[in-house]
Amino acid sequence: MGFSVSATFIILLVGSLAMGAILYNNLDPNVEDLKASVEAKEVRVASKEKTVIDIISAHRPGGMFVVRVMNNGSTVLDPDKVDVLVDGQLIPSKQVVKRVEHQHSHLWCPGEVLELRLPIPGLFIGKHSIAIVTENGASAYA
Amino acid sequence: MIFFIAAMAIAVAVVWVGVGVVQDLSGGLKTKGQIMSQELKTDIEIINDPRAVSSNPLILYVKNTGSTTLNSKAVTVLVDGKVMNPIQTRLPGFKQLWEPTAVLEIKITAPLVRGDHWAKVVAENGASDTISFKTKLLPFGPWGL
Repeated sequence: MGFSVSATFIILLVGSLAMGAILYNNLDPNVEDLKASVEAKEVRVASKEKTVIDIISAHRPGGMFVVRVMNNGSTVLDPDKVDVLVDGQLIPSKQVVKRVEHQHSHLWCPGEVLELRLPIPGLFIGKHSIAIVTENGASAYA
Repeated sequence: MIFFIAAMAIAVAVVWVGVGVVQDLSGGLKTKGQIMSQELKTDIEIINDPRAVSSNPLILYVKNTGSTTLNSKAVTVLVDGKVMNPIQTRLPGFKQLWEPTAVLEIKITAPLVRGDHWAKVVAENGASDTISFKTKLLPFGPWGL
């Protein structure tokens, strides 16, 4: 009787340890991956919250449409990842000439103005709507 | 002796069933965790100017603001609560993979009456974005994606 109880206890103990090991092996990398994903999501949300851009002017010298946008937030942005919509239509990024004013750097830092030159010769004279969207989805309208 | 064998058999059976259940459960949790992780890494944003969206065809511009590469053919579009089918999707350079920061153009040919509408775009793993907008008859310019 005593021996049966001991042997049963050992079998159940070994079984419990095996179950624990299976759970740990399967879930530990998963938990780490989830943790990293949550952190990445937090960083993205925080980055968008800290991004503020404002269109400060838009004019048309010649056949170009020139839009100046100020980075009023606290994040450093990538001009190459800025999208422009004129009258609701997306202007292909390769057609837009982007330059950070008075800077040789390619980074669009807080307090700096990004100049966007859009070659839209067919654009009629009058009121137009412009939307500027940054890499993290923050936008400005005029 | 009979009692000993019976006790052993029951203990082994209990462990066998327990290990099977734990394996199944942990497999399910692992899959669910991977799906959740993928969804957390995915973010999309409809970047249309809500004041000026073309109505016929309706064109939505959706930016991949997350950190995962998505399948541009696996998006679902709802307009005013109805699933739109068929839709045409296009990426710059006619790529198939929708990489982070790239803008996907979705063209919906079904006519939309002028006025106020809302649209929802859902990516392959359930990440979505919604926009309320006014439609406007837009002349097609010489630009275009």
